[in-house]
Amino acid sequence: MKLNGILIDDTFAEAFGMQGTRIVITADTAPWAKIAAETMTGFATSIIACGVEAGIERLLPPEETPDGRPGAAILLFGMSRDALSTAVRNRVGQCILTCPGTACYNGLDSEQKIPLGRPLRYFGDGWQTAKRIGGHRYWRIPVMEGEFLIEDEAGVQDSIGGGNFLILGRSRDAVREASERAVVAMREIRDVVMPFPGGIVRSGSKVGSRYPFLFASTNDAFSPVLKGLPGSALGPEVASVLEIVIDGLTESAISAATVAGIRAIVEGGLDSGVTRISAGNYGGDLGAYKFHLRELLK
Amino acid sequence: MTRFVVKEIPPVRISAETLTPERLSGLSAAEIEKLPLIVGNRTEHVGDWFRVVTGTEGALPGALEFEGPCERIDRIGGGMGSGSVTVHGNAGAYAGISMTGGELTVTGSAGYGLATDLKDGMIRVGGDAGDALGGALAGIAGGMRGGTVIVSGKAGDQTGQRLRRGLVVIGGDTGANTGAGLIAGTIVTGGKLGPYAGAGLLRGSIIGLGGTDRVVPTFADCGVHDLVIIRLLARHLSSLGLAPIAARMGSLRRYAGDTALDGRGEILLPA
Repeated sequence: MKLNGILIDDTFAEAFGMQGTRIVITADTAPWAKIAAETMTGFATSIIACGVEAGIERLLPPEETPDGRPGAAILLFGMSRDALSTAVRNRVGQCILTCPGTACYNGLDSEQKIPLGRPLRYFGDGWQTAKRIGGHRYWRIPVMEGEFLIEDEAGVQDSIGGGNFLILGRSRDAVREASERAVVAMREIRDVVMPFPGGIVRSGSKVGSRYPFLFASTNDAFSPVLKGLPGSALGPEVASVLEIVIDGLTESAISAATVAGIRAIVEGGLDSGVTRISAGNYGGDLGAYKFHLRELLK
Repeated sequence: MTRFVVKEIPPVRISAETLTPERLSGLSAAEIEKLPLIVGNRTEHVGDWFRVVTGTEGALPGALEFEGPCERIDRIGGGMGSGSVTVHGNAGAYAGISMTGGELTVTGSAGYGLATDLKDGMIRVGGDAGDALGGALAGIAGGMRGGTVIVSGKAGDQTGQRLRRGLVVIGGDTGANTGAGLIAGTIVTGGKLGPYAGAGLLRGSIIGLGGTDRVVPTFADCGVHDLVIIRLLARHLSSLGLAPIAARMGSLRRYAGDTALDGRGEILLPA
């Protein structure tokens, strides 16, 4: 299958079940809301070492936030509800509670919940008070600046992590620029984040390693400096490969983001320097979710 | 919909607590008129005092309406858990007592003990409310423990006394001891708070947008603050159709207390 001259591999992205939540942060100004969101989603690219994967879903105008101030919607994904709960507590406690002017709300309607402000309220040292408004319970925690407001709990739901596709092309610049176009298009899709820097990852990994202490290592089959060697998946024309990893609240959201990203790339055609789109998988035996590129792009 | 038309002003008080949408569901007008009704200290029948009309075309099921002079009809909507009850005119004492859900609307004024022991649901009063709004049942430590009460006019003494949870909004002034002994929850008044508001307050918030003549001296003046929680509350009030009150909720002066009881609550007044 070729789209605008760009080869779409007959392969699939293999993704895994995760637990996901959405947190809404507000602040006195849009820049401070963004600072808070960026701080909270820092060092959250991969659960391999970060404990959680997170990203800014989108920035929110005042009319879309609970308190009428500028805000940001953040998606966070963990391998279990407990792991996600711990990460949320730590990140909100260190990055949002500390940030001037912020407030923190649940952004996901779900029967399943994790504590949000409940464990952090003890920072108030007895001066914290609960307030229930319109069916939502909040904690008011006195801080030096005034008062930090945080919702008691946040919704959590079964989610998916590790949706992905690979962009292969004739130069580093061409592949990076195409990937940037893809991320811009994918950020229009709700319920997903691309947790790596700028939404893009250059060090895609495979499961396992020749070293027993390492359970993931470089995806050597897609490294252009190893092309020509046995096991390489790259033809001679490929000089660079980048990957976009997608975490989402639903399978349909990841599918939509994948399609949006790939379509944004293939619009540029072969002249853009991109020659091929592929995807990362582990043979289909590890992940519960498979996103077949050609089926998605039909 | 089922309509209850009061035949004549009763010489003694009547308890309408048994007349709720759940209890009357599926009954014909004739069956309802045969139901027992507490009149003074006697048990009579619904049909003795009300003309019952059921199945009004186009009306919602689970809706009850009271028409005629209802000032001596007490406990209207008492214990209801769903549906709606509307009183066209004034209601007697203890309207909405121990409600667990649904909506009670009084187009006129409500008497003593409105929303006593309210657990959940919505009560709207177009006129004034008497004393002891949202109070406690005899022998019970805490008063209203959930739900929302909106009174367009003024409310009497002891409004929200020992309130445990929920929201009370009074468009006008309130009498003495508003929110006294408040355990938690929120009281908002568009008018002036009467004397001794918040005395003995433990937790919770009293927001008096019309100010008060004198704050109880055991409250500490914490200064003027723009609190995010007030923004949330204002938005919630707007969603309840109370935009004029919500528009007045900006920066407020916070009084913390009641320090006489190590209370962690607050009275918020105009800056």
